[in-house]
Amino acid sequence: MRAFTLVELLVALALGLIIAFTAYAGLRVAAKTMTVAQNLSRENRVLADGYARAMGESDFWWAEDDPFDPAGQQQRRPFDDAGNPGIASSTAYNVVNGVPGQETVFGQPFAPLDLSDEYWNYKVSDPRTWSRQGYYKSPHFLGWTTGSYAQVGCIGHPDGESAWMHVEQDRMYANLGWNGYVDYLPNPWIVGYYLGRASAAAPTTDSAGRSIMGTADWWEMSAFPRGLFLISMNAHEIWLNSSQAPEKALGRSGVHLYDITTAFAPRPGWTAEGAGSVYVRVSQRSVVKRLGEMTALQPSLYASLPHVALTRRGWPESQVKVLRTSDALETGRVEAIVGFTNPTTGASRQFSFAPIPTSLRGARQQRQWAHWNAADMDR
Amino acid sequence: MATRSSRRGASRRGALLIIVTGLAALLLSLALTFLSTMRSDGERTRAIVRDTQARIMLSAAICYVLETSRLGWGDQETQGWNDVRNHAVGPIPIDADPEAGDPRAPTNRVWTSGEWPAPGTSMRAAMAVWERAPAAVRAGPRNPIAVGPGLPLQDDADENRILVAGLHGDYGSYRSLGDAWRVGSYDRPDPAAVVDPRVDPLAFRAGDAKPRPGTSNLAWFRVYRESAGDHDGDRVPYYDVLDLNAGRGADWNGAADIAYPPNASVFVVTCGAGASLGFRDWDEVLASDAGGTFLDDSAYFAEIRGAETVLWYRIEWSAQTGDYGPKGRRMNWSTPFDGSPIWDQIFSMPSQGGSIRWVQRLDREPPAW
Repeated sequence: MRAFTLVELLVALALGLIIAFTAYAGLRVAAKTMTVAQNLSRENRVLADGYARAMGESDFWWAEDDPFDPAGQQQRRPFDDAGNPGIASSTAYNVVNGVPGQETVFGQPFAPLDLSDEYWNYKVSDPRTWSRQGYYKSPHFLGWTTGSYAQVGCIGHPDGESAWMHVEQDRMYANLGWNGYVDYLPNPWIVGYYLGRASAAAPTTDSAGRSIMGTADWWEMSAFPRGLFLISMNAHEIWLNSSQAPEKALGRSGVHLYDITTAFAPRPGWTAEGAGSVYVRVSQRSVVKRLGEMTALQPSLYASLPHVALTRRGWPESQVKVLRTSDALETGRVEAIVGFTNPTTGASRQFSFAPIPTSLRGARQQRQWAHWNAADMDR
Repeated sequence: MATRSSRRGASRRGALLIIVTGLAALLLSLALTFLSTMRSDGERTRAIVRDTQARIMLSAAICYVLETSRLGWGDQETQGWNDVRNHAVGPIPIDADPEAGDPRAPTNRVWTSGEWPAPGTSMRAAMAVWERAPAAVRAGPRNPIAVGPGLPLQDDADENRILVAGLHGDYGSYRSLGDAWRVGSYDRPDPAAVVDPRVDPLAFRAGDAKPRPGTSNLAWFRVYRESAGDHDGDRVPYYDVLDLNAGRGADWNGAADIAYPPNASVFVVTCGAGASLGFRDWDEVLASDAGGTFLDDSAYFAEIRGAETVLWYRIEWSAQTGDYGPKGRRMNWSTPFDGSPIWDQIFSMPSQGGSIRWVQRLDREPPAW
């Protein structure tokens, strides 16, 4: 057998090296591709998981109330304006703080609300349920033409419609808080009801059994419950901007003029970036963007869902945020933000969308299902 | 020696073969892993698309419930799922007496017991896009040039005029007042019919039900109208936790305090994404004489149904509608022609078909849908 010549050997070596390098390069590209593909796949999984969680939150309201754990049910009882739990009575939650008619306890969205069927199963042919919006002219308040809510909802009013409307709205506001009230209020109804007495002969207590203002006590818009008008509706803000009596812009859209927003807030531990929980605050009053309130509260308003399922070391970190608000253009808006930050590549991506959400009434009914522990909330 | 040398040669050839095979196997396994990763990613993405399509169907179903509270049951407008005049179980035509007969099954109702839209029945809507909708019209092209003070083009007569015109809702993007108002005429109607009704009135009215390419087999919805027993608070089905039928009140005509007729405005909405056309099961396919659509093969249909995303919701319709809100820039009260936006006026935002009082997601399949 003839031995290799030097040239043959060199050619063979060169060809061998080319093959080896090609194979190595191929493997290297393949390995890199796999790494990239794996990263993309992980990011994709995190995004898909985030999407599902955001949609689940939109449908089931987990961040606001945990049907399976009493520790996550803070929004099932009212609080006073200092953040202390309210005092329950047999009919409603309320405290008279030395001043008749002054409410210092605010309802919460998942608090029980026991009203007879007369107040829930609206018969639309019943005049009591008809819209009362418009200019309700009555005696002036500080020179401004104001609304006469005696025509809308008034304790002891001889017109049964007004008496009915008072009970309806008063109890919704007192038990469900401002944000629950806005969610529950039927589309065309005016926001507000008359707290003062219609006459000296009218009852001296309201539907919840608490004392009410007399007709002479008008120094501060006695036509409204103080809490509803001055605190929840941000009356001064509306007034200053509109140069008009606030009654002219009532209705769920009207009370959200001038960049005013109403929000629901997640319970502790479910806020974005560890922010404090503000569910008491938003159940008491709306948020005025112009004053910077929205910027300050936003981390606390975004429900940031715990995402333990995909937190393996080196995996992209998931971000899921869900915000529930109502404003001048829309009642019951949900914004979902889903994203990730990948510690391996440094990549960060985020997208937002607006799911069609369920409503608070729907969420409260869910919590009364037997397999969800059958909470007793009524409507 | 020759034998030893030949054995060494064979050994070398074998080693090379192993190395090459190993490398090839390595590449193959990488390729397979890559393909499998891509495939599972694709499936995950498809699941999201399906879920999104199904959720869009909730919007479609709600639109259907709102619209059909007043339209679609013959020549006459109807007055709601519970009639706005006396709460009778509708729909009932506007020119018919809602008081006639038992309000639970009024004489002038448009429904027949056991058939949609009677309480306790359901309808199915496969959501392919029609080639041409009934009575289809097409709006004229909109001028895309931004016009107005501070913008490239000004109105040649009076810039305030263009603002006033724009108060229609989109000021600053019209060429002239005539453009903004889009003056129509018999010679140049706007919007114009897609099929000229003077030429073919039947085709104009009927539309063209052929599905547009790419729109079939994507999504569907079903609407089940609950019977009174489905929401009487007896916890059967599991979501029946509140009695939605009760209540008393006076009628608009001053009738004494009476018990309301049952609530017939609660619906279970099923939202689906997939190619089943919204058929619930094979029996329903056969009952609709649609077996051929699924190759007359129940297993094939079951496979399609199994691959679908299906979500269930409950909604309650209400005749209450409208809201008071900002009138915005549509009109300035004191100086209506200065065009400046105003926010202290109010207007009504009506939905002509009522509103949805609440929406509830169901986490388990309802017995009827």
